[in-house]
Parts: sequence; structure tokens; C-alpha cells
Amino acid sequence: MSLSDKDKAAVKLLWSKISKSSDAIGNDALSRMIVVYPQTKTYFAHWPDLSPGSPHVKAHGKTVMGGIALAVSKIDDLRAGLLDLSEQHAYKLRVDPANFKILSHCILVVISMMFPKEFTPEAHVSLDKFLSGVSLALSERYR
Amino acid sequence: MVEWTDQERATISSIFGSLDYDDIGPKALSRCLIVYPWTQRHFGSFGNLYNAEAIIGNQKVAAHGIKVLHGLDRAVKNMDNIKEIYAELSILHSEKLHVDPDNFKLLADCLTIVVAAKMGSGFNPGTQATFQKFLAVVVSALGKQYH
Repeated sequence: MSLSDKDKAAVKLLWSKISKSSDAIGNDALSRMIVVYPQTKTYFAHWPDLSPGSPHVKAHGKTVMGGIALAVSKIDDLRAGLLDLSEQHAYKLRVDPANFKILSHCILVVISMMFPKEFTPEAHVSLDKFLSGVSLALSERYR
Repeated sequence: MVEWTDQERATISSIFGSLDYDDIGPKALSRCLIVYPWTQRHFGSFGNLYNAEAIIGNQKVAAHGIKVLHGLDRAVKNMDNIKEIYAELSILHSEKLHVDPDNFKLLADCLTIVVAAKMGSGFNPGTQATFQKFLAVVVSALGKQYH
């Protein structure tokens, strides 16, 4: 299920419309992930406050969306483009890759809420494929 | 036995009470067929599913989407015994329709996204958690009679 030229164009187009809100998207997606999938809290035990919109959550949402922005710029070769991030997730953070799917779903829900007109079924399938590709690239260095 | 708080019951009741089934049903099913095209496997007799435009304009898809959403009504009205309520439907999906139970989760995800689009900021984290809990129970019940 690799990205076609049509998928890449759709992702870039959607990103151009939503990227100015990327901090808000990251904050909302991470906030609700922690609430909807409480098992993800295990990765943030070192934060004093895990409530939606709290300072640590907000800052981290921004960091995550920075990674997504990087991925959009490296859309022609996600594996190579995200190698450093993959090393970080594999050796330092050791996030179980199953969680990439969970956060991807939350990102899709937030984009759907914030941009219902732009998030057409066609944009959705391309973005879903893209986030799957990002998840796969992030898993590259795990084993 | 699934435990529901009063708040969760009220949330589910409120969400479904506010949905226009004729709008949301077709949107959810057509999105599922577009985003996860292998689900089209079950709709060979529905005519033109060639591209997103065709799927969205397909009357059979729309009608079936409405039917599926009304199927959720039973669970909304009987939240305390969803497993029993769906036993027959589970057998139907397994033995007659031959639907891979993984597909239920895909449709549930699309329904979540369509409801999120409709509710906007009202679809807050707590609401999403309750809605997904409800759909997870439905999905589990529909898969229960497979063997």
C-alpha cells in the first residue's frame, strides 16, 4: 500500500490547508489519545499533569506535529527521511509501534472535527495511507 | 458484563438522538468503502463502485448505510445486553454474509470520524472515549458467534 502520486498530492494539499493549525491539532490529538486510550499514559508517567491541554501535553503535541511536517517534506522517501526519528523511537523512547496506529487515528479524528469540508473521503484515504507509511518508517530501526 | 455510568448512557443517547441517520449512515459506509477498498468485497451486487464519486453517488450504498445505522439502534436501546441482542446478527454476518470481523472495526472508525466531523468541538475527549467504548462493545458482540 505505497503512496501513489495522487496520494502525495492529496496529502500536500491537505497539509497546506491545515498546517497553520498544527499546534492545535497536535495538542488535541495527544490530549484525547491519553483520555481515550489510557494505556498510552504509561509513556508519560514523568509528566506531572496529563489532563487535556496541560503544558506538557501541549508542548509534546507540537513536537509530534513537527515530526509530521518533516514527514510531509520527505514524502518521497519516508524511510530515509525519518531514519533519525526511528532511531530515537527504537532505542531511546521504545514506544510500542501499536501506539502509532492509535495516535494516527486521533490525528484523523481531530482533522475531521476541525476541517470537515477539506477532510473528504479521498483526502482521508490518502492521509490514512500516509500516516501508515510514517508509522512504518518510524518502526524501521526497531529490530 | 459491561458497566455503563449514567454519564455514558446519557452521552450515547444524546449522540444518536442528534444524528440524521439518512445523512450519517451513507457517509459512514461510503467513507469505509473508499478508505478501506477491500471492504467492497461484500458489495459486488451494488453496481458502480469504481471511484469515490461513484461510491458516494451510489443509491444502494446509501440505503445500506442507513440500514446499518438503524441496526445500531438496538444497541442504543439495550446497552445492558448488547451481546444477547446481537447474537442473531453475529451468526448472520458469520455464516451468511461471511464478513471478516476486522471489518466491523474499520466501519466503526469511519463512523467515529463522520460523527466527529458533524459534532466538531462537541466531540471532546470524554465523548470520544464513550462513543468508542460503545462501538467496541457492538463490534465485540457482532464477532461473538464466529467460530
